[in-house]
Amino acid sequence: MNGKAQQDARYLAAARAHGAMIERLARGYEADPELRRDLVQEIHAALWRSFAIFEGQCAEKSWVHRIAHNVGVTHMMTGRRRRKLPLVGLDQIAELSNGDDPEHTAGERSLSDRLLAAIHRLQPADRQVMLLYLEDLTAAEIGEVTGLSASAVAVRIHRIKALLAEPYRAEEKRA
Amino acid sequence: MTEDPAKQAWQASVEIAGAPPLEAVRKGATKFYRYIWWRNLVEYAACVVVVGGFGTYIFTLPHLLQKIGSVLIILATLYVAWQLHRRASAVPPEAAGTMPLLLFARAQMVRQRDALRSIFGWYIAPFLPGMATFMTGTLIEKRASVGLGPIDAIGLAVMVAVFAGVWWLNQLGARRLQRHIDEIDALTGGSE
Repeated sequence: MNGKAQQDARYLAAARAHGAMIERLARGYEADPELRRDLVQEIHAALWRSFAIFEGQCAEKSWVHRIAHNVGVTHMMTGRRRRKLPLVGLDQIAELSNGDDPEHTAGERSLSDRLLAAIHRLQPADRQVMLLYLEDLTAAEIGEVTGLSASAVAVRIHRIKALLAEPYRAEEKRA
Repeated sequence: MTEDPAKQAWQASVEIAGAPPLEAVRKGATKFYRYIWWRNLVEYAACVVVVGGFGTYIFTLPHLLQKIGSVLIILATLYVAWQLHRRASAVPPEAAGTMPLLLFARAQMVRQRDALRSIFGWYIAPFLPGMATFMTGTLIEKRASVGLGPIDAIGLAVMVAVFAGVWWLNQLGARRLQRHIDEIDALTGGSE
C-alpha cells in the first residue's frame, strides 16, 4: 500500500471508530447546527491530513482527540465575538440547569441538553476535560490529550463529579 | 459501557456517525492551505508595492541620499518579508496531534511572543537606516528649494511616534501572550 492509500485507510478506520465522538465534540464547541456541520468537516479534514504524519507518537485515540479538540478550540476562539455570556471555570458553575443561558430554551430538558448548556459556558481547558470525561477517558488519558498536570486533571474531575451529582443531591433533599 | 448516567446520556446523544465521503474530506483539507496561499499573496503584493514605489524613487528623485535611502528601504522590505515568513508562518492544525493540546497552544504562543518582543530588531531597525537617509536627502533637497518649516519637524515627530507606537503595541501584545503562557504553565506544571 502506498503512502496516500495508507493515509486514506487509516483515516477511514479512525473516522468510523471516532465519528460519533467527533459529532458530540462538535456539539460541545458549536451550538449553531450550520456552523457545527462546518466544524465537523474541518475536524475530518485535519484528521485526514494528520494521518500523513502519524507514526504512533501517542495512542491513536489520544491523537484523534488532540486533533479534534484543537480544531474545536480554534473554532470557538475565532467565533468568540458571537458569544453572549463570558466563559467561566468549572468552579463557577453551581448546577447543570442553566435557565439563563440564552443559547438554550428554558424549561424541561434532557440530561444531555443540560450537560451541553453547562459545557457551552466553560472556558477551553475545563471544556476539554469535561468533554473527555464524558467520553469516558481515564484521568491519565485526559492528561495525555490535554497536557494538564495530574493534580489539575484530578481537581477538575472532582468538580465535574460534584456538578453531575448535584441534581441527585437536590432530589434527595426534596425527598 | 459506562454506568455513569451522565456519560451514558452524553454518549447516547450521538451514537452513530459514519465517515464523510473521502473526496469531500480531501477537498476540505486544502482549505487551510488555500487560506495561507492567499495570505502570502497579499503580503507579497504589499512588498511589490513598496519595492515598486521606492524603486521608482531611485530613478526619479534628485538627491543621492534619497536614492541610497530608497535602496536601503527596498532591502529592509525584503528582509522584513523574509522574517515575517520565517517567524509568523501558520502551523497547520494537523500538527496538534504531535503534542498535548496545552503544550501545542503554548508552543505557538511562545513563538508569537518572541516575535513581538523582538519586533525592534527584525521589523523596526531594518527600516531606520533607509528612512533616516531618505529623509535627510529629502530635507536637504527641500531646504535648497523652498526652505524648511515647522511642518517638517512635525512630519519627523509623527514618523518617530509611529515607530514608537508600533513597538509599544507589540510589547503590550507580548505581555498579554505571556499571561496566557503563565496560565498554561500553572495548569501543566511546566515552565520555560
